[in-house]
Amino acid sequence: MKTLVLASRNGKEILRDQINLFFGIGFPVILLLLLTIIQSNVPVVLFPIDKLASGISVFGFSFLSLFSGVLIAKDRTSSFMLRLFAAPLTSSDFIFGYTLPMLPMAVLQVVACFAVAFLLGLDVNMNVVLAIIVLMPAAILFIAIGLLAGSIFNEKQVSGVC
Amino acid sequence: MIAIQTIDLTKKYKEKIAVNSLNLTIEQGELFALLGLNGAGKTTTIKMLSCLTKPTNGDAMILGNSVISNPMKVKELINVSPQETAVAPSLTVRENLEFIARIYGNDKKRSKQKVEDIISSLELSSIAEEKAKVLSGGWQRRLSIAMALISEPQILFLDEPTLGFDVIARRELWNVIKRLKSKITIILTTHYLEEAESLSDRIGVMAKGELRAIGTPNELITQTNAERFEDAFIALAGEGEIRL
Repeated sequence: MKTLVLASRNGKEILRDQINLFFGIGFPVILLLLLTIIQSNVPVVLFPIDKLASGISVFGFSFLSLFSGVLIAKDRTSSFMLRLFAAPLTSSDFIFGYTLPMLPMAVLQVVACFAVAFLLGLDVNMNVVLAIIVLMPAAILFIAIGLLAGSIFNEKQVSGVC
Repeated sequence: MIAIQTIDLTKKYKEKIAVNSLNLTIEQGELFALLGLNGAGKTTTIKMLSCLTKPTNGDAMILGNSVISNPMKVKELINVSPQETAVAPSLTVRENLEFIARIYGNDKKRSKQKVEDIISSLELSSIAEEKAKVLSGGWQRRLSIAMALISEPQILFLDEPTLGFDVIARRELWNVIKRLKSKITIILTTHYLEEAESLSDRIGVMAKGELRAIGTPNELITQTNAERFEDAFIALAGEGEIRL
């Protein structure tokens, strides 16, 4: 229960920042569109959509590292983390509380990337569902990197590292 | 009944001794101020008492619970208002309060009730729907204290609560603290001597990690043969002999 309460707060902190939303979902989609346009104007196959969609999805996860890392670093520097440490929360409350709100964002990112890829000519089949499932452990890895970086570095350093 | 008892509480950072064999007893309902110069060990003491850092030696009992062997129980009984403002910036005042109420184990209905009570008692209704990041420093600090109070702690640690406040904001916060006096045990650290003198039942003066003296403001003045409390503090917190 406490984990979900902390996760809810962290989700609100991230989603209420419009720039986060743009970079988290909008930027990978823009990149997908740009590379597809480039592909359509060059004679060699550089960015086939079936490989590009999953590749850009993984690239989008780097923003999850950034968001989770910056959030923790901000909480640490503003003493908010001190308040949380003084509360009856366990280490698992902290780990899952900062990880869980990022997972729906990861799913949303991947779905947005593949939805745009469908419009750009990607075949609609069950492999896409498999791709989304396979991408989730990668998303968790990226989130974990963000949590680690945010626990060690300050806000400016996290922006550089992630 | 004893709220806090420290037994040779010590914190060392490598060779530096931040707090040295602190023995202190604070009664329930007391407002106890810890005074000292920068680096005297006040914040380290509060951090050890609130389970934020582990003592190197010794122990502290919070309402009978050890900070070393039973920190989770201690955390349920206390709350802290840290030196810096500690609020969630993108959450509204109401959401901040509800968040803290819920991580202290209250269900949604009970949390909402507590939020309404604290908003009313600390006069936060005018800013209840504002995001914390747009509030002035004074309001943010008031919210920070409200967040510390919403869990209904039996012991409240206020670490330099009026640091950086203007005169009016400080007086307003003093009134809030005065209203809390005797209802809960409050441990206050401050650099403002008049604040400690005005609010506290007893004052402990720390210097170089040691408790130099303890007593009411008048007792400390008498003890140092000073004319004013400020002179007494300088005599105790300076380089003089230990006067315990």
